[in-house]
Amino acid sequence: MAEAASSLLVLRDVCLRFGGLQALMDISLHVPAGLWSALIGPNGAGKTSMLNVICGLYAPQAGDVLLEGRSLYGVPAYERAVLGLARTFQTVQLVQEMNVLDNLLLGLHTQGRVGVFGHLLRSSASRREERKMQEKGLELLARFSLETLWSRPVLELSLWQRKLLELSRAVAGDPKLLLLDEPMGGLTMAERESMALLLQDLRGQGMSMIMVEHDMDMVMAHTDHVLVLHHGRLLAQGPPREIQADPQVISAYLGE
Amino acid sequence: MSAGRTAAARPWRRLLPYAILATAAALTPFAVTDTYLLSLGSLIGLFALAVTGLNLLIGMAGQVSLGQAAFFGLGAYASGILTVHHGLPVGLAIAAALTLTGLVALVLAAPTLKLEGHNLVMATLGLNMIFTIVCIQWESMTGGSSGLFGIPAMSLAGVNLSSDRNFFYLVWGVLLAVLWLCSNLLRTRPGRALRSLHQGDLLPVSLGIPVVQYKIALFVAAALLAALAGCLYAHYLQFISPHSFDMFVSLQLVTMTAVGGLGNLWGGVFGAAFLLLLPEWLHAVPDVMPLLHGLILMIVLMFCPRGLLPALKNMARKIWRGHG
Ligand SMILES: Nc1ncnc2c1ncn2[C@@H]1O[C@H](COP(=O)(O)OP(=O)(O)OP(=O)(O)O)[C@@H](O)[C@H]1O
Ligand SMILES: [Mg+2]
Repeated sequence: MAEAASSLLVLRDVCLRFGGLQALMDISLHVPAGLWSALIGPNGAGKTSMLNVICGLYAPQAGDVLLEGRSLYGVPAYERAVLGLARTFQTVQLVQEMNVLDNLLLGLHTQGRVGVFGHLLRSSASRREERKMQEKGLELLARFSLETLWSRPVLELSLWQRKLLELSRAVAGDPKLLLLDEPMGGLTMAERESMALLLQDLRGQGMSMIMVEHDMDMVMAHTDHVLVLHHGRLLAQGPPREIQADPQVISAYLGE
Repeated sequence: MSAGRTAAARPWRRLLPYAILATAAALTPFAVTDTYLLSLGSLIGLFALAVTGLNLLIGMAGQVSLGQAAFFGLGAYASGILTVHHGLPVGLAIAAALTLTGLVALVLAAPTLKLEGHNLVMATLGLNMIFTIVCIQWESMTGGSSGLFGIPAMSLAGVNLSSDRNFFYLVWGVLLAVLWLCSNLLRTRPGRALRSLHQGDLLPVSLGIPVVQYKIALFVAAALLAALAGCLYAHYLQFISPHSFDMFVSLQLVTMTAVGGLGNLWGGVFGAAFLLLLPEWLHAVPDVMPLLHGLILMIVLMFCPRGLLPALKNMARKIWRGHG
């Protein structure tokens, strides 16, 4: 399949079951590089489950996930992060006891080269690496207008700031594919607009993204490609305008 | 960027607690002439060493082990038996005891860490009981319930390290070095990864952190620190018995950790000192101590789950602000 070869991400006949519940049924799709894709569908359609399958948190009962043509079968989630998958969560996941900068630096975990013993002994390599990471971390925070908050405990942040921090952590390691689970969920209209602009910037820099989102206006206005899930099945996929006009999609989702 | 400088600046502030503790430790043997009190000071240092490991395990991985005294005892007995029955030089015996404990911990880590919550507590408790039973039953090696006598003292270049004063310096020197290493680790990349562990596996794993390996490493490190304390203990007292490493000692270690505050390295030292000095102040009969420890643990967990020391610090800060 020529299409598969040029695709960043491929899912082949993916099936995921939780006991008797079929969360994903025979999902096959291609995600080309450089696109901002949206993954939409009603509550419980299997959107989060699909992201979890892609990044290795759930192991599908059947089917395979390929990143840049390489099968991820049996590759544990933490190694997929090294291969270039990063994500955010539907409910923001930050380490409560740590400050903003340290939370961000978790996103650079896979970039470290100095081993545990170097860090234990506070070797010059360890200090150099930490200094470089902190600088890079502060730069990233500045990109997302969080730099003045770097030393704050994350408990003090607003939802908007938490979402920003989670996003900056996810892009810190320069992933090949960014998985976003409802990045605009719970935000105000103005914040949604700002988030859309940030994501547009990222896309402009060549970042490939799959975004789960309920806000159809956002999806139609900004994304390049739309995947529609319904009861664990891939109902339709295509450019936003086509999807908007698809009668099946309208009856299943938009028409609700 | 100014924030960049602030983030790495003020290294002296980091060194301050070490300087204070080192000075206090250096002066203590001059101020405290009573050998009983001095050996109590050494014991505090030894327990603080074991608590440091447990603190990392509970505070970072959220794994509560009630079997830490078994590793403490494994270090002590292995080093004791190797010197008494096999005539190994002390240094070599300690190295062998640590290697053995590390291997045992490594084998136990994977199945143990699959358990969580009560199951983990019960399993580690069971481990401790098995250890105690082996120590009592394997008389030919361990000396049974009457204990193992005649363990040789430690010496280095002709200096007896097991004299009360030298041992005190040795223990506190080792403790300060270990605290320094641990705080180095916690401030850097692996430390941030460790601090993300108790969040549940989803987050750390998606960030590329091999959670299982990290937890195993923590479990082994905690066991090694307990075993190191055990080795030193054995060659200082030159006598050990199963009773010193039973589950009540494990309970004591967990209580010390809880008192000091989970994941708080200095808190562990405070917790060890607090619990070992308490019976001195109370003139308590040894038999009620387990009861007292259980009670303290309960009170701490109920009223200040982040630890007694952090709670006291908070209170002091509030009073200070109230006056200011
Ligand atoms: N770990 C799990 N164990 C059991 N069932 C699960 C699990 N995760 C998801 N499910 C079930 O799978 C189905 C799909 O869930 P999923 O979270 O993927 O939906 P979603 O499309 O993300 O929904 P939402 O819009 O509400 O976030 C649901 O019925 C859910 O209850
Ligand atoms: Mg979801």
